[in-house]
Parts: sequence; C-alpha cells; structure tokens
Amino acid sequence: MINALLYIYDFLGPTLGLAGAFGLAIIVFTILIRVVTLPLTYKQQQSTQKMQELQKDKEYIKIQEKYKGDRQKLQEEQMKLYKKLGINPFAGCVPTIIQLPVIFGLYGAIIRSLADSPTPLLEFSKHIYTSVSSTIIPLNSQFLWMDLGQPERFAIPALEGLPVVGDGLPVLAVIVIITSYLQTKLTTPPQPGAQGAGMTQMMGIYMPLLLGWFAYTLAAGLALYFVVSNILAIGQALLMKRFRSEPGPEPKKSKGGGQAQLKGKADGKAKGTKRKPGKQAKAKGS
Amino acid sequence: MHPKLAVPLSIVGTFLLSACAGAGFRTASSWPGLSSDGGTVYLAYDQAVYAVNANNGDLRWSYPEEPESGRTFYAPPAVSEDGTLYVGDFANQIVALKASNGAVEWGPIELGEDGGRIVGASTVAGDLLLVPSGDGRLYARDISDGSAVWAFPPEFDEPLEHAIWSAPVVEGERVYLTSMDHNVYSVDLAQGRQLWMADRDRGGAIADSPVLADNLLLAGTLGQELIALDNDRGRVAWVFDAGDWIWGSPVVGDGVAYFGDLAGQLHAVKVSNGIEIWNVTLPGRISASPALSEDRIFVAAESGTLIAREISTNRELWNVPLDGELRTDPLVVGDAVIVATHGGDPLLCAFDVENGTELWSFTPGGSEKRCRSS
Repeated sequence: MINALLYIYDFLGPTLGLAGAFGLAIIVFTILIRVVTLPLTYKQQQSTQKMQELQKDKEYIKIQEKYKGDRQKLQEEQMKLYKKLGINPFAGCVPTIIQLPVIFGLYGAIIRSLADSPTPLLEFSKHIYTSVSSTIIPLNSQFLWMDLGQPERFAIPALEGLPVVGDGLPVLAVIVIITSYLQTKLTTPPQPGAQGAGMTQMMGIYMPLLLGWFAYTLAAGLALYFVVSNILAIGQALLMKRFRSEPGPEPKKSKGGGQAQLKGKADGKAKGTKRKPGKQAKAKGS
Repeated sequence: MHPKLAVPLSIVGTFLLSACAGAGFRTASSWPGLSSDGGTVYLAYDQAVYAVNANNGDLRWSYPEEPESGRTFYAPPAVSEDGTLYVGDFANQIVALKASNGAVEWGPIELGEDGGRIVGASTVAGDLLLVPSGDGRLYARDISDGSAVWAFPPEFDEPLEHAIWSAPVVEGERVYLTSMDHNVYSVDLAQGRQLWMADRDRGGAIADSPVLADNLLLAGTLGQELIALDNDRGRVAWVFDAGDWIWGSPVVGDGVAYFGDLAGQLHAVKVSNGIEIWNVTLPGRISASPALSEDRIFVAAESGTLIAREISTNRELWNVPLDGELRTDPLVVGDAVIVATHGGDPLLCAFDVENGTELWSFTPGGSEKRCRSS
C-alpha cells in the first residue's frame, strides 16, 4: 500500500508538479479502492434495495404477522424467504470487512510515509521498493490547510486561545460525520422487527460518530480517505437508486409467488431496472 | 453493513486503530547523539544527556536532574573550547551547560515559534552557536547568552520546505548547510545571508552534514548519490551513484572519501574525480558515518556489528556483534573506538582500536551486561 501511494505521489507531485500531491495521492488511491471493490459494493447496495423492497412484500408481511410471537420460527421463515428471493442479508458486510484492512493499511502507510524524524524515516526506507524514486523522499505532508500526518484542525485566528476550538475547528471530522451518516442511511438495509430497526438506528448514529472520532484524533490523511470514500459511496448509492427508479422497458415476467411479487414491486417502482436478466437469474439461483 | 456485525466490527476497529495510534502515530525519535572533547564522552539519548569518563566509562554527570515530560535529546552535543556544552532537544530548545559539571549556563531557550526538533549537532563558530532545526531554519545564537543573532532563512521569511537534520560546517566566513529539502546552501557567517544554493535538479534529500575536502563539499543523499560541489559557487563537480540511500556523511582520508549505504556497501571513492577505488559489502545496512584512525576504518552496521577494517589491505581486522542497532557515528577517542547502541544494553561501549577488546561500557543506572552479544 505504501508503494502504491508513493507511485501515485511521484506521478502527481514531482512529475506533474501538482501541489499537495500526497493529499491528491490519497484521493486517487481511494478512488482506485472504490473501483476495485465496486462489484462488492454494487452487490451490497443491491441487497440493501432488495431488503427495502422486501419490507412491502405481501408474503413477508404475512410471515411477520403469523410468527410475531415466536422469534425463532420467524427467523427461520425469514431465512427461507430470503433464500427463495435470492437475498443474502449478510451480503452487505463483505465490502465493509474488506474496507477494514484497507483502513488499517492506509493508516499505517500514511504514518510511515510522512515520517518526520530520523528513526521513522530509516524504518520507512525498509518498506520502499527499489523501483520507487528515492528523490521523492521526504514527502510533503501539506494538503490545503492540513498536515496529513497530524489530526486536522482549521485554524481561525479569532478563536485562538479559546478552550477546545483554540487550536482550530475539526472541519474534516464534521464532514466525516455528515457523510458517514448519509452513507449509512443510504446503504444500510432495513432490519425486520423492532429490535432490528433499533439496531439500524443505533448504527446510523454510532458509525458516523465513531468515524468522526477517528477523523478527529488520527492523521488527517485518514480523515481525507473517509470523506472521499463516503462521498463516492453516496454517489454510487444515489446513482443506483436513480437507475432503479428510471422507467424503462417492461421486465420479463417471472414465475413464483414471492419472487414474482417482490420483482413486481421492485419493477413496479423501478419499471425496467438496469439489471440484466442474466444477473437476475444468477440471484435466483443463489 | 448488517447491524448485527456493525457493532463488533466497530469495536474491533476502534481497538485496532487506537492501538495503531498509540504505537505509531508519528513517534518522533532518533538514535543516540555522541561527541567528545577527549577526556569526556557526551551522550544525548532519550530524556537525558550523560557525561561519561572516556577512560573508564564512569558517569560524571547527567542533565537534567529529573526527566522532563516531552523533552528528549538526540542531537550530538557540541563542545566549545572554553568548556561549554550546547545541547539541542526535540522541543526545539537549546541549553548551554558547563562541560565540567553539567550546571546550566543559560537556557533552555526555544528557537522559533513553529515547533520543530533539533536532530543535528550545533556548531560553534567564534562567538556564534549555529543550531540546525527541524523547523527548517538554521539559528545563529550568541554563545554567551543564547540571544538571537540571525536565522537562515530569516524569521520573517518562509522556512526551508523540509527539516535541517545535519550540523552546519564552517570554513572561514562561510557556513555550509545541507537539508532534507534536497539542497545545499552556503551562508555568510556574519549575517546569515545566502551566498549560493546548489542547483541539483531532483536530487535526493540530505540527512547528514557535508564534508569539506580539497575545495569540494561532499554530501551523501537519499537519492543514492555522493555529490561533490565546488565550495566557492556550489556547482556540481561530480556525482557518484552508490545504488542505495546514503544517510551518513563520508569521512575523508588521504584524498579518499569513505561512506556506507543502506544496501550495506562500504565505498572508497577518490575525492578528486569521484571514481570508486573499492567497495565491500558488510553485514547490514550502514546509516552511520564511518570513523578513521590511521590505517583503520570503523564501520557501524545497523544490524549491531562494529567492524574494523584495514584500509591499505581492504581486509577485516575484527568485528564485535552488539546488542541493539548501530546508527550513531562511532567515535575514536585516544586508543578507543566508542559506539552507542540504539535500543541496546549497554548503551555505550568502548573497544581497543587495535584488537576490538572491550575496554568499558556504560548504561544509565548500571548494568552487568557485556557489550559483545553472544
């Protein structure tokens, strides 16, 4: 990961002469990560939308009512329905699980790359490929108003000396909280039942605050990654929503009660989704 | 993400990232700084400066009396002829101590307003103390009281783009300075005005000091080159490609520059034309400058081995494996070659230059351990 960042930095900074190359390198790197994980995030968002549509499904509502007193049976029936409709309720976890090592790796790469005293720099040299130009060392950690190796604060002279905000406002942390909230809201599947809904609601608050705390206390480079990653995820979710709701050609009629009902609802809302019949068939089989 | 997994994942994430933050959040550190006035060895390491008897390793004094939070010392202390020791710290402060007993003469005085760290040794030049700082400035202070004389670049101007980690070199009325911003500067000693800046298109950063030899300034770069500049105008005379980062300064003897690189190669290059005479691969990366004593060269390999070689025959005389890493330049004091270990025990070791016999060792607080690690 360090070397990928260095290659991008070398291209953007010393080669193209762009200012704030390390920040730009993090942005480009984040975009690449989102592109690589696009098939997974696409699946996650598909799953989210299917779950949303499922809430209105007649068979689903019937199951909820029928087994509301027997949680175990309710879960069993729900799982059966998921299977029947080709919904994997855990599909949404995969991209997040993949994001975790990326976050840790990127954080380590940022801290190592921006070594600002002799021992860390010598240690950093052990991680660099020989093909990386050594003339780019040390990297410039400045990007806009930020030192990417330090927690971000936007200094406002008028606030100097005041408690908490005296060192500046944590602008990026606030943006991380807002974008994380929006992203969670757009990409988290609704959960059945009061308990599930409660957990969804809790996550909608807990996750943005947690990421905001990371952005507030850790290197600004990581906060930049969160912001860019969130914005891309929001954009992707909105695009998918739009495509699904765009009117288009009549979808092929499918057999089967629940499946047909769900599809009917999805298609009714989304008449003519961009999903290919083949993909649908694959989902059916899973 | 599924809510049932979100909470445990978040907890694990918080734990791991917090652990990362604690362990690696741009921890500022360096290795021991070592210097000597002949009779005493001065060692700056972590939260203290130690004055150690160069003959037997006994502690003479240490500074400060009690460790101070947030104050660490890694720059080699500078000793003046009148017996004053100047020590910089990682809080960008400089303090003057009496070399005989460690009493504070003046300071600590904070340099600049932008923070920074003092990594390189200061240089005493007449009435001036030249202090290189990680904030990208060279500060000239009056040695009698530490008052400001000038700064390069001036304090009303922007500092250099990157830190200065190397001791400035003074010859006559000129100061030569290398920087992590990849440049070499010549500055007028009296007023700190820039005389020239070497034009090195995309050269590597320079971590250690330049060396003056035969009107040439020699400096090793992280761009894997040893560069030679004419000291009058700063024009490049020749460039030697080493093949890996050169961290330490070269040492020069009889018209030959000796230096190591991070690939573990020790090079001998003619000062006059930059042509390599020989090179030898040693066990481990070399980040420290070698030390010369007559026909011997002492090289500290990062892996923890001190190696003595005979220059004329280019053969190894002896080697001693030590506990810890060796990144500090070895020091020849009388018949002893002294090394400081980084993260090892003992902290200081002295060996007979002839045969590598251990003469003494020093560890703050005392230690029964021998220097040679098994």
